Amino acid sequence: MRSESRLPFHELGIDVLLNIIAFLPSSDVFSLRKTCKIAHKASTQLSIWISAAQRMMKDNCIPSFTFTLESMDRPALERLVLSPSLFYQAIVHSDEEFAHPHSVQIPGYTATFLAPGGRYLVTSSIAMMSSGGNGTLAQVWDLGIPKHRGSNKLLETWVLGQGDEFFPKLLVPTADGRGLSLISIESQSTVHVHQVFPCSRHIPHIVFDLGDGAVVVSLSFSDNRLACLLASWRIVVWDLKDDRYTSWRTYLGPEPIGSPTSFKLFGDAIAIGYRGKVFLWDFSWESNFARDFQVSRIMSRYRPGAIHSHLLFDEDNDDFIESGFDDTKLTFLPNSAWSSFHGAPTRNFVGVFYPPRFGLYQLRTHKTPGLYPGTVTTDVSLGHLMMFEKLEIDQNPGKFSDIRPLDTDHGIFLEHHGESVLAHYIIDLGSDNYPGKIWMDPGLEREDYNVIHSEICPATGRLCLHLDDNNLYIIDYLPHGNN
Amino acid sequence: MVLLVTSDNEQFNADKDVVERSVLIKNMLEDVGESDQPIPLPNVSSSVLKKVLEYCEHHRGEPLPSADADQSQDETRKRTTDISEWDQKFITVDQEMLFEIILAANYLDIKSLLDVGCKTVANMIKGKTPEEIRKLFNIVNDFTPEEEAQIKKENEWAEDR
Repeated sequence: MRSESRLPFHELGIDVLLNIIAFLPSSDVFSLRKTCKIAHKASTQLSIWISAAQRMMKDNCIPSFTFTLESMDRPALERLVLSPSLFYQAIVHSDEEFAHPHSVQIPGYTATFLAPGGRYLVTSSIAMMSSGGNGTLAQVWDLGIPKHRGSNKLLETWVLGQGDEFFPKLLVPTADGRGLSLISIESQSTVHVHQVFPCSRHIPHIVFDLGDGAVVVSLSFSDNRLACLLASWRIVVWDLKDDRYTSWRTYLGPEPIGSPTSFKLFGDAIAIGYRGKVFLWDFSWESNFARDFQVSRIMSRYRPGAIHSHLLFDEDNDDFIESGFDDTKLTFLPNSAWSSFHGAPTRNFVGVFYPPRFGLYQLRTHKTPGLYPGTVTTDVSLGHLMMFEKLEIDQNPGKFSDIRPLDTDHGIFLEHHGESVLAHYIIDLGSDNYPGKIWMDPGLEREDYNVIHSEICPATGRLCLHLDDNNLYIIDYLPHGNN
Repeated sequence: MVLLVTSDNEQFNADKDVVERSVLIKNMLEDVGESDQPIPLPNVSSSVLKKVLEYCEHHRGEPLPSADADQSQDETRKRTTDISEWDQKFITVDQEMLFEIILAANYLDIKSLLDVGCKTVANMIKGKTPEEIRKLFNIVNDFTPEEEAQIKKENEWAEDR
């Protein structure tokens, strides 16, 4: 126990107090500021809130161009910094009267992609081209800053490609982190990366042609890296920043059957969900010229994946398969947008859904250098399993569309679609030995919402709903402030 | 060896590579060059300097943070309030000594020691109400009732987090 000090607290001075505040969670800064004048003065310095906002945006993968921090006043910065906690509270304390969507008229889109932060939206649509035939358009919209409701503004429209066989799949940050790229698959075998923001007359564009006969099954993006799984069980990873690639043929057993249910890139490891197990690979780079990639160069050598878990089940997995395990129902949840395997601890999870069961695994890797080409070594462990069998979805399994981390104090956010129901869950991760706690937001559990697709930014509390009436609805969970 | 003189006129002899963990002393030594002249530290008492030298001795040889340290490194530093086991034991002192060490680290420009002290204070503040913080640090509420009401009103929106 520390004894009472004869040296007054205020003698520490503003500089030292600023250093103390830098180690405090933002919520505690509000408590400190109410104690005395010098603490109030220190806690209202603009610089600490700009730094805190930068940290919050980095933690939540919000592109720096979403908010112009330098032009924001302190109250606005404080609200931004506290948004993740406020959103958590909004969900936990919500009731039937809470959700008030406002619709945004964006006609004719076929897909939507909301950038983290909730300000920028990219849509795609099919349109008749002046040259004849159909083309795929991309449009970038500024929906305004969450909590400052404004009309949506169309920033730019581009033709991504000709024909109907062009499917935008992912919205990702550009390699320099200052823009957004849209990743599309054309005719199953060609991957296009178009930089769609910031707007410019000439859209930077990279094409990866995987060759005739190649069928892209799945894409995954993390840390400027794009991974692609082909139907032939080959994996290709491109590093969009450093212009390099690697590729290999996977080996999951003597005769793999069907397709993997899930495919995920975690920084420099690949995970595949197949027949109730997670297979992991790490990789090193094979060539420095990503743009010269040719499918014929894919290494003929197989690399076995490290079999790593019997997902969700304690029983021996083979026995379970024999007793009717349906592999097609097991999926990895999408996880947070743009998150990295090497990010904060709460980011290293993979959510696994096998209706009506949901499991949350935290992946921990211990890599041994110099094992290329190799698998992630066997001391990799899957830990921190949490199983929630009673998410009130037994009668209506639907699907989990998304899983996002909230701030580290408040676990994760889970979104679930039923047939006519959209539900949000907050899962408090607790500690390693604490099974967590679940809250459900009933605000959106309405039978009149037939949700086709939804995306949310839990950091700023903006939800974007694509309903079956072909309108886009925006819900800002956080109250509108005066700043 | 370098001779240091405290505010209460006590003299301390310490190795150069130990005292040079203080950027202030390092700069002073560079300014005066080779000299037997004692270095006066009028803002540091002997009991505090003893603790500071104990810290510097223990961390002797560890890399010093560079002046142009990457900003992201600095940001990372401020994400964690973890304190190493030895530092934790070292900083388990009464509150007055804790504040004195922080002030000395700030004056002597020993960033790692300043961080250990500030993290300790931050950890003490975490999760407490304003009244509990006042009580903990014996802080006098110097707001007028009007100022207090104004601050309460301004921060109402952030309540109940």
